[in-house]
Amino acid sequence: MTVYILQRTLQSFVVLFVMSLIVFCGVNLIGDPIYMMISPESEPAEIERVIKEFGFDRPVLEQYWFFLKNVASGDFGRSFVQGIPALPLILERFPATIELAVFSLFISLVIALPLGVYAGLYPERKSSKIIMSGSILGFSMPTFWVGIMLIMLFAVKLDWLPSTGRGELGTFLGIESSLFTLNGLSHIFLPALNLALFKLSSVLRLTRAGTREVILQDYIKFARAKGLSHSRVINVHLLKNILIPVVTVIGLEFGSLVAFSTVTETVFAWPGAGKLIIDSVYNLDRPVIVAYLIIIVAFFVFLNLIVDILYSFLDPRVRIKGSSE
Amino acid sequence: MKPILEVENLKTYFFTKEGVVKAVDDISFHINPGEIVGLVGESGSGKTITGFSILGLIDSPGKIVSGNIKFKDLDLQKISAKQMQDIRGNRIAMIFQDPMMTLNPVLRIETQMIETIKAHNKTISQQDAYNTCRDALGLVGISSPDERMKAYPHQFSGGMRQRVSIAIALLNKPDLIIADEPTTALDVTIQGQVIFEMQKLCKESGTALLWVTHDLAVVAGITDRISVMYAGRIIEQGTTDKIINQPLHPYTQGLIKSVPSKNKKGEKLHQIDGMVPSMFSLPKGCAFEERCYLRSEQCKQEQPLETQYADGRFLRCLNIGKQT
Repeated sequence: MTVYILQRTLQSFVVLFVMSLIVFCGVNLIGDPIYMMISPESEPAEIERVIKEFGFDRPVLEQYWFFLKNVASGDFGRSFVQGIPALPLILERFPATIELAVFSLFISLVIALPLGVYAGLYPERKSSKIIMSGSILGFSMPTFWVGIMLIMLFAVKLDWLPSTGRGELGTFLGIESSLFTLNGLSHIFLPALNLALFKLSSVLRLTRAGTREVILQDYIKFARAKGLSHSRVINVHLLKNILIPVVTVIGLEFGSLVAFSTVTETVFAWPGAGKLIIDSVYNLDRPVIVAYLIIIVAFFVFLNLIVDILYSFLDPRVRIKGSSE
Repeated sequence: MKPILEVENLKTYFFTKEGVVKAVDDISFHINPGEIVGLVGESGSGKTITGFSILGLIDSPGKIVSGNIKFKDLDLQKISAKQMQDIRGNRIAMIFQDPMMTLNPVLRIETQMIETIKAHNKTISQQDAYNTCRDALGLVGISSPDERMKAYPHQFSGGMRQRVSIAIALLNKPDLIIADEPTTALDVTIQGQVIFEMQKLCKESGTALLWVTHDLAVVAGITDRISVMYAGRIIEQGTTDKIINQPLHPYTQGLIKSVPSKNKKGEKLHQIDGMVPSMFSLPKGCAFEERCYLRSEQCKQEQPLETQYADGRFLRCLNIGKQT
């Protein structure tokens, strides 16, 4: 197992390196941040000085080399806009995004797994058909629109839940999060639901498909022939088998929940990293964009590893190379 | 002796979009305590569905349309789902055909065994249940059962897996085991061992056995009586000796002649002409009529009824009576 994790970590660094090169060069192709930083009416000499100061006159690859050297010492550069180091700026925003993603993942699992199993067990029932049609809606409605509708309904019309911000933060086990206060929960609910909708639909459909497939297997019939209760057959024999694909998808989707929560964060003014990256793209804040993308890629790579390890626990037929069994 | 299982006029139909499939159509048979009965027929003749019908495991679009299944004094058609669940795996156990598919791939052997005991005995301790299961594994010839209890199905070969399912079937000392082609997926050498062990275990515990198979050679050696199925009906049943040595129904005769054996070496193997009719469009008369060497005009029109003969066997044929 240890050997396997080391190998994977090494591979990850290669991926990160290649990816940072692409991102760095790519970002250099779009726009000139210089005009974002100083007024176009400034003296040409002044402009010249700033260009020199930031090293924009050097070739891209040389700039990249400087960047790499700095990254090696943990310095991702300073935000052009805010003048503070990019890495802490992003990391400071990350907890808000992670908590939003975790909570919306929780919502989608709690709703999607039971509904998916139900729709898979009783495909002929009207309720199952309603569930499945509903999941198509969940797939196809644009997130920003659903977000606005949620605000209209629950915040404006009914006035049940707040529509913007993160609310009060509570501290539990040294982690600060709005999940630990009632006020915070009321703030996170709408954006999390909004973000969950798409995942919910895909997990639901996956669960249903898995249920339909597994329920026909001999081992389910054999479990019934052993006289096991219905709930044991479903909760142990069926669920453990359909969890294998579901865990894979959830693991990968969790990455995309974090990476692409930008729309929801913008609609609900959620102070997370997604909103930060959108602002940085508008302002051509290169160091923040590059640092953000590198963090996200590292996060994806890490999630993949976690999924692979989880996989071997769920499915005993998957053996990780180098593990002792 | 009072039969432990009595099946009377059982009809199990499947209502599919393409039409009604009469998978089991009006069959009757019984099994006495401790007896081994063979249910023989080709694929698709309704043997497996008969087994599932007894256990109440017929899923939609299938349905038991009519008939009685009596187990001891219980009418299995009338009891509640809960009572049926108590009987399954406890009083009547089943072994499936494909050992590679019957064990859940993601659960340890011990989990799959212990749950079978706990489902029917809520008060037993984990340790007692574990010990019973480990001993059962030893009984079916699995070496170092303690280690094997911790293993997953994929760490076993096909033969070993079938032994595990046999051990699971025997766990609660059932009165009846329905064995659905338990040896078909196994190597011949393993086949022999498994058959021998099942026979021995059933003798020791007085368990009755319904041995469902297409392999006449297998049932000839171990069963007391044989029922031969064709297209959802039992067309001949009687003692093993009578069926094997003096088969009367043309289909049974054909089946027995089709078994390859060494004294026929060099000869062309016998085969029954024609094909099994499609279950969607069974003929009005006898389903075997088209392939039968005794066929007459009457066979096309009339469904032969089950008639008892002087030597105790039952037959569904319009022509045999005339002959003898």
